[in-house]
Amino acid sequence: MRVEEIISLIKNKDEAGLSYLYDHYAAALLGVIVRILQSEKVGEELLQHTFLKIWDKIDTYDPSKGTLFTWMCQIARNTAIDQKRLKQFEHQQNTDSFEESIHNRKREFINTNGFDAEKVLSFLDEAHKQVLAHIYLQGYSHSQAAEKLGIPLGTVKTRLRNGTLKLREMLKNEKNLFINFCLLTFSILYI
Amino acid sequence: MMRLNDIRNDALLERYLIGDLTIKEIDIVEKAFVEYSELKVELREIAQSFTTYALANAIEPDPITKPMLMAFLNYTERLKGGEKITFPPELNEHTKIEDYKEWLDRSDLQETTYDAVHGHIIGHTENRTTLIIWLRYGAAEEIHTDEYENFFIVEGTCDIVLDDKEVHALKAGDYFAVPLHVSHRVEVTSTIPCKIILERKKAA
Repeated sequence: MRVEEIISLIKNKDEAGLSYLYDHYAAALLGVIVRILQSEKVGEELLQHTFLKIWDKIDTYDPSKGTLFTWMCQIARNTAIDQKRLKQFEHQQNTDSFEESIHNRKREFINTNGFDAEKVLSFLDEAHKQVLAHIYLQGYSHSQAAEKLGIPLGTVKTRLRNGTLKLREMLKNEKNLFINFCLLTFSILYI
Repeated sequence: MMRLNDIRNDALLERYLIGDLTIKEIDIVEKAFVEYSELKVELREIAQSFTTYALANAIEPDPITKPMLMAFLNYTERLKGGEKITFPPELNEHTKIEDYKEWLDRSDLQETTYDAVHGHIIGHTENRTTLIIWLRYGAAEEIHTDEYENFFIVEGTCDIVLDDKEVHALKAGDYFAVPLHVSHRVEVTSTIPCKIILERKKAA
């Protein structure tokens, strides 16, 4: 389904549009939500709130400001950050042990989509992975990430930029390796 | 006007996409889009990288989350469309199918999908939610700590398995209350989907 069709379905209050978005992106959004909270407890509830906001606010999505996925991610991120502030969530465990605890729930994209997103990430070194994880997944602002990681703000920006650049190069180089996948779903994957 | 390289080196596009910029910085980026058309291409590539990153870190939601979301969405849209709020009776061991006739007979509350789980909310208050649900195969293991889950079978048959060992075989007209803190799953034993009145009630 093309992104314009999905948006048009939701604008017309057709539940099939939201159902489609859920099937393809709920797992990615839940990954962001639970890592911001560092807790699985209310993750599902916030995922539902996120989708209800997507449904209600679809008219405010502006394609010139990013893709539909990045817009949905902003909603998920803000929903999780609001909850964290509200509940004064404590980080009861460090990120490593939290990653271990959610390991069994990670979606195996290699099996479901014929595309190995993990492989694309394996080319990043730890320093870059750490910055991307804090900013892209755990909801830290760049200045909060600098403080948490004990590195200068400029370094955070550089690693964020270089880490993303590496991902972009990887995607360009790997495109022909998963060309069938791309031909079938490229526009869908990167809505 | 900020120079192109400053925008890149400050990772402004990356942070623009995730919503981590001040209003002033957003203004700078949006003005730069007009000045440097190549930034739009970069923005799209960064969005693709970010999507890949999020997909690689995806976490599978509980299978019941989607049907509950869709049921809630459907219910709120029905109310927005003018449907009057109704208050179905609470389930108990004396419940009969005819007690829910008002909802079971409604043409807009029938199964419309071939999903593994499909549901319609028929009543929702702060303390209690009542749904008609259709389970094609069953419902995965779960434990409730703050709400009671009660079942009343309308059509078909199923087993409710407590703690992986205690099997309760249910048929149309049967009521079952799942105790708090006990792991339970549902296995449908009929060839037709099992149609159930499901009640979730906050524990006092």
